[in-house]
Amino acid sequence: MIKKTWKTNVLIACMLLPALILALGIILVPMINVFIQSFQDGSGNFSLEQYYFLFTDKLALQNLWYTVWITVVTVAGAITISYLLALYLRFSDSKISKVISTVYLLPRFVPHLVAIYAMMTVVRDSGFLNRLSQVFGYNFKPGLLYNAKGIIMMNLWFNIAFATMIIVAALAGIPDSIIESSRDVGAGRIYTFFKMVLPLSIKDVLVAMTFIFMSNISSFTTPYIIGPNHPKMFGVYLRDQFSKMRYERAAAVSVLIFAFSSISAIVYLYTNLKEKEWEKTGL
Amino acid sequence: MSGNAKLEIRDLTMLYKTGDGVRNINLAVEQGELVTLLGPSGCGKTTILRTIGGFLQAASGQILISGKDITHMLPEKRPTAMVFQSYNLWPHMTVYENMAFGLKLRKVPKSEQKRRIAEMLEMIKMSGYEKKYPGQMSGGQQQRIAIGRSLLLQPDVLLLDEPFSALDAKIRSQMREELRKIQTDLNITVVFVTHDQEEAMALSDRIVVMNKGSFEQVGPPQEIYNRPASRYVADFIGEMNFIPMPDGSIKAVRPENVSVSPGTGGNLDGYVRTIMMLGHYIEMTVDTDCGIVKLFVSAEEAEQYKRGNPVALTLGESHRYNDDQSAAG
Amino acid sequence: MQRKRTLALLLVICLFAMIFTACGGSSSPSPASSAASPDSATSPSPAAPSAPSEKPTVTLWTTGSQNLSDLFTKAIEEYNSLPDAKCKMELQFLMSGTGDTVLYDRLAAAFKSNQTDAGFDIIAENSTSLFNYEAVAGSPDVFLPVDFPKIPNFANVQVETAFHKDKSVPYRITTVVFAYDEERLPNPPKTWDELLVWVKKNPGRFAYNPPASGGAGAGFVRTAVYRTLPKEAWTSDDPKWMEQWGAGMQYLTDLHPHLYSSGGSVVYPNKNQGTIDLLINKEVDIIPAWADQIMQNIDQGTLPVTTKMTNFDIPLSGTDVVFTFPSVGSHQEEAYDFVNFMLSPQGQKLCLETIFAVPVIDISGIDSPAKAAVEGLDISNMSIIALGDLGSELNDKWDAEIATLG
Repeated sequence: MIKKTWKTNVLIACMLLPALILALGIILVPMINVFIQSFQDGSGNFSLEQYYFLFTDKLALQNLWYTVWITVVTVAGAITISYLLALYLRFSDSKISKVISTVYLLPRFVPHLVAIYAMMTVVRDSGFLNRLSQVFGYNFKPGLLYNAKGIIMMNLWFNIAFATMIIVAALAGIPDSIIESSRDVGAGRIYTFFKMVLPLSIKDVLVAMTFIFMSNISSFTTPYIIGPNHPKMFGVYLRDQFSKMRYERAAAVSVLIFAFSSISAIVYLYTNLKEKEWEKTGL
Repeated sequence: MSGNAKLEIRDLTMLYKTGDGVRNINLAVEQGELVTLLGPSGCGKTTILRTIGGFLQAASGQILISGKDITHMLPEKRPTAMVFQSYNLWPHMTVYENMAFGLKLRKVPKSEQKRRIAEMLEMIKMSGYEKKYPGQMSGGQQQRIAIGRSLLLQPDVLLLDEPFSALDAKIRSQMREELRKIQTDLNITVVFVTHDQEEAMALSDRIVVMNKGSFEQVGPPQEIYNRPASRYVADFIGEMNFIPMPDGSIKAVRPENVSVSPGTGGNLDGYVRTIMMLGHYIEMTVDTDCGIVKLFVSAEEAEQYKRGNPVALTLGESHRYNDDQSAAG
Repeated sequence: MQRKRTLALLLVICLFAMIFTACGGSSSPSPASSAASPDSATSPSPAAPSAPSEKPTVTLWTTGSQNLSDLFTKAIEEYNSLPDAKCKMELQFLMSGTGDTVLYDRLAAAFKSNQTDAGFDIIAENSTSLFNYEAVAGSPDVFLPVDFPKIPNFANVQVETAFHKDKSVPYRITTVVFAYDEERLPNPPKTWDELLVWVKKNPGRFAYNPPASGGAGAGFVRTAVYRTLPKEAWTSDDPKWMEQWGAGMQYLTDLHPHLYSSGGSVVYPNKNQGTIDLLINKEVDIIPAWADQIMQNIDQGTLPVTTKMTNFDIPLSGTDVVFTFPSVGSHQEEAYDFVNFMLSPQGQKLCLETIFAVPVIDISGIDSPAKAAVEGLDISNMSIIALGDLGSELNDKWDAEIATLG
């Protein structure tokens, strides 16, 4: 490792400067503007009425909890499925696992709108599944659109590939001998998973969770196209407020979304900056 | 096969999808014996070890420990303990936690755990390291802990898979000595895998020389060195001159069994090619009609020779192999 | 470790950036106005090819779906190639759903800072939306009066605008209709009361999109609520009329349980395209939709030729689309020349053939095979409902009372 002197620190600072200026200019300034705007009434005076409304209005509260609920279910579902998939890819040697490991990232390369409309043609009540069932004399209506099921299904489709990618990388970093030596001293598969595999990959799982949480709490396209009319996820609600030209309330909704993201950002920072004792090498 | 062997392998075959692997292996290891599987990489030595440990499944044959068939047991059920080449220790646990892990699984009481771990650390000279994490120790220290952790569980057979190959030369020979000492003190049964013939020589009660999935020769180090059963073994163990004979066979002579004198008229004549100082002795190579012959001379003796001098060689104890590489007498 | 920390910090900053751009991306409404089809993001159309430099450049601003961009790109190309064109036209197009509110914000900002040459020379907009422009700018002076004699073709215009008559030049009409497939529904309902009866008899076969998500749904909801109100209410933003929404809201509430449903609950698919998709997939039999979108779908073959359009005793609201001249713009004289071109049979034909717009001049003067598609549309008594701010209130009320019925 390069020895740190004040010179290298200055160099690092200089290299980061353009990015920081850019970040300040295009992120921080609008952020502050939105923040200030959220504390104004319609005529620019300081007021808490936007927040008061969001935390007292029945619809707004329903939207808030709905957003959090969808996001939490998405995170839990995506992580669970991804972890199982990643375990399979890491520890199975079969042909199927090789095929999956080459194609599982494909959803990352499909544009959002394309994927949503493609999914709709399959699962809508008159879609592919329905027509297929009619061939066999049934009239199966999946009922997956325009409700929470649809949003969550779509979110899973988008996020499983990403989460699997991160967890696969984490699991690949656990040497076989760690697992084998655990088995060797007498631990079964399940015990080995909870004592070795999980602790050694939990950090990356938390990172994946944070990313999924942040990208889904503010999601718009999916809930807008296949979500219900009520309750609405905050992304859609924000757009509603905007289209009704209630910019201050829209700003307050933005700040709330930001606050939720901040919570997960703090989790992310905490897991990344706080190194556990065992991660510090003494050498 | 003897009935009181600690570990017995009967007609074991284990094949990979590629067709590589080991075929029809038979081996018996006595209680307290240290047997080394020696061979180049890919010869199947690790395959046998991992099959004993339960990490690979035998296609056919049997593995018995203390007379009990363990061929189809899961690794966690086997009375074996394995030390790997590297990454043995669990990085997120302290030395103490690493060592206590297996004891906990065996429901050893806490106080008993503590006592046994302290004793073991004492024995492997690692007392005071209880609270360290693996990442805070050197490779040699980690392997010591790994061996200690395995020994704590009092396995019937200890399996070591090139445990010292990632260490540097000095620590490696030190570790060898310590391992040998602990092994004889505790009278434990060990199967050791290595590609380093020097290590095998230094450690083993018996060596199994392997080639392409089968045994070439099994015997004590001395026997393997002095009476290599095939040209392959002769070549692999120690240094050996191979001199083609007029009848088509090949004569194998160790460098220390070749003596040299100035002039001509020996079993083989030639010219000095190189003289190389190797500490307290000199290695000399001689260009002959039958190729280059290597031999050792003392420093004083070497003074009378220069590059290009004609020399006469006398060949001492030798072995003969036919072209098909089997011993011919 | 320091480096790792800095890296993590930068990453977090990037994450926040992502969140905020996501917010920004979603903050772009298409108020119940334009004939909007899918809001796929496309960059604004490039400006028209350059022309000789002695002519002044006149910039036209508009917003809508891709078809509108196509229309003006073509129209400007044709106009700029005319030898006696008085100006060089340029197009500034904002895709609806990607930032069209910015247009009235920008105009208002330019107006409030008393700019005179802000580049907003002509705005093409639905007349019902123009009240919003005035509201945001805070003054009716944001648009200039029109000197009609300087637009000779205006004499042929047969349509009256819903916006200020002295400040706007209508160039096309767009209207919401009930669309259905004649083969599946030979006898569609003919009145609002019949619709309710029919919907109760045929549960799940009717759908409309939420009013805030597109003009078709907005047209339906507004007409349903205002059909029983006096005519003066239809173009008023006076909050007093809110008291009389009750009957209309009750009608929508009565319809609700019998509408299209999926997964066990009633669904109002978002956006104009949402309901058209249901009609295409035969999941419903009749929907309110923009006439031009239906014609386009028939033309492209996604809807069968047996698809018909109709209206009830009180027709669904539509709007005329007009050119206006912001006071912050310039070159008004030259801009008249382009507007005059758009009102000529050539310009009207272009509108008809590109986006199936209903012409504002006598259709017999236009020679086009596309004529047949719009000739059946009776626009003589088209309803125009322009509510200004009250429109948002109505959408809110719908969100609170109808969407939540479950």
